[in-house]
Amino acid sequence: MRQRPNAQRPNYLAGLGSLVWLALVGLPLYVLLISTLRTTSNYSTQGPLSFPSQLTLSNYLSAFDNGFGQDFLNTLIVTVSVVGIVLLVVPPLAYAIVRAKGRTISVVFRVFLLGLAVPAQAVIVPMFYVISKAGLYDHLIGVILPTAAFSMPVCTLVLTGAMRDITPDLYEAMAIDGASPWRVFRQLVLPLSKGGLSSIVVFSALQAWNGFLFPLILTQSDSTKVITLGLYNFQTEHGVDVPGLLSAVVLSMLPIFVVYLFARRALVQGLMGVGGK
Amino acid sequence: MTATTTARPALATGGRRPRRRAPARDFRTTRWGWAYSAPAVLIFAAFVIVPTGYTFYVSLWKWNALNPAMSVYRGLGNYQRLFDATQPTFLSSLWHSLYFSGAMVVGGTALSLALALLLQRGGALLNASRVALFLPHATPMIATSMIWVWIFNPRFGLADWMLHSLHLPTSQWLQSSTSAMPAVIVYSLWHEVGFTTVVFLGGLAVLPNELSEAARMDGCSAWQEFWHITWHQLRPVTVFVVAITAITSLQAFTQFYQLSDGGPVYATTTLSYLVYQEAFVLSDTGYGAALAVVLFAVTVFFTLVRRRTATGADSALT
Repeated sequence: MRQRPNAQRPNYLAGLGSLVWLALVGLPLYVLLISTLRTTSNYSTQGPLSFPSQLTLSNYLSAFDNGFGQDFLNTLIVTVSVVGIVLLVVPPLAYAIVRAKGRTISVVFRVFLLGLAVPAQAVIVPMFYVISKAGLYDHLIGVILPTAAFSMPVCTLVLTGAMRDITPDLYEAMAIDGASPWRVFRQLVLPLSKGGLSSIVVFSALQAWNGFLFPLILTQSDSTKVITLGLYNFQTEHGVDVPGLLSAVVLSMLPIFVVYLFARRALVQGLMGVGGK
Repeated sequence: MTATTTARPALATGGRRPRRRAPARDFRTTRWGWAYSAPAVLIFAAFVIVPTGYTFYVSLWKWNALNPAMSVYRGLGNYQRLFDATQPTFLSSLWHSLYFSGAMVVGGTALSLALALLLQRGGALLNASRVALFLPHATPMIATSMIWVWIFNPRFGLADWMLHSLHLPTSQWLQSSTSAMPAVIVYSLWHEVGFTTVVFLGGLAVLPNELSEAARMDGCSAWQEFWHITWHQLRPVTVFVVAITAITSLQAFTQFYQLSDGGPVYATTTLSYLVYQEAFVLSDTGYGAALAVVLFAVTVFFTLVRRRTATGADSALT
């Protein structure tokens, strides 16, 4: 990233601003973490910010007793499948939108953009019918397909933006070479839209991992429960066990933290391109 | 789709493949585009277009959720009922939606632009906050809103504990009908601002430097430089941020479900929350569908406004 010339001069206002921001982001997360390590007994006696005198992991064990392992696995399956479907079908679509001629394809693009305006709540009743009729109710695939479909408009928007940045000269060069659309796609378009591809992976993965409404209405049994739903149920069933609940919250965020720490650069770089040029 | 051989002729050396010698213009007019878009279009049609169309259809009926064959045709009756006085009213929920979205668009855009400008100036502390920047957005809303329910708790929550320590007036937050919506907005800003800041940072990173330098040479103040140069150049990115924030705020659901349950006394019942309530909790499916159609129309309206104002500026988005 290009640095501005005045970057060397210390900017106190900027320092103060970022300190406030750090506190705003960090404080809730810090309180969350130490609350889970506290024993239930001294939860209410000490102030919320003090470090607990005794550390315990029992709250985490109680979260696992409530079936968190299974929820975890289900969410992982949903997320990987959604990302897989999006990666399989959206890049060819975006390529066709950018490179194919004709009115139909631009109509297709407009319809996908209109899909941005469809709120998930607006279709839950018909979705329930569609999924039930297809015999997918209470199956993970019944959550995967709608989630993937609903993340398509944003992914298409982002990826077509990235593909439009490829200069026409490169296409011409490959055309002179007599390359087929498939070869142009594989050897030119895919390698040159890596930024856009990582954006749509991040986007669809977050949607799938954090999705709540579709699992809420399309699944019911414990074997198909995802983390967000597990958290919600835990809260309604064990509302008084605040440290236990917060431990479950920490566990649900843990994979995101890990991925975030290792792939922060790719993730942020991917999203930086979303706004277009 | 054509299967390709595993051999990869290098582009520059012009590896020749006799089967495919059609010039570029020809392949752009063939039907390959259909094959490439078909899988995405099929999934999208089955799980977005068909259910959306079905919602339009259902909105014309007094729908019987248990036995659709028993439904009674009502025409536009459900839409006329929108203006009935039954609580919570459609108009109040529409107002709550606009209140929430307006605050999110204005607050979120201003805050994330300010943060992006600060972060861009560099420094060790700033790099640390850059790490923290995107984190809230990556966490599940259902999880972090649970933390905030506790933060907002008037008796032993963090928010009032801090206000009290600083000798500032405390608030009932989610438990009073006047402060509930601002509380939800505070949480939503906490969750969303990281994302829009990253988008702004992306926009700032590709701005050409010449104009700003010229402005500084001419003795512009930092504020003038921002107002006349940077802000102006960032316009397409701002338009994108405003549009995406407006759309996601109009559709926001989880935080209302989790933080406030639409209350107290319907103070946070937005249109998108009411759609869910009517359709799934109160089982007034036809009326819920009519509300859903209105929500869709409102969102499309905002999308169109965005396209109007964005003409030409951001070809990648229009």
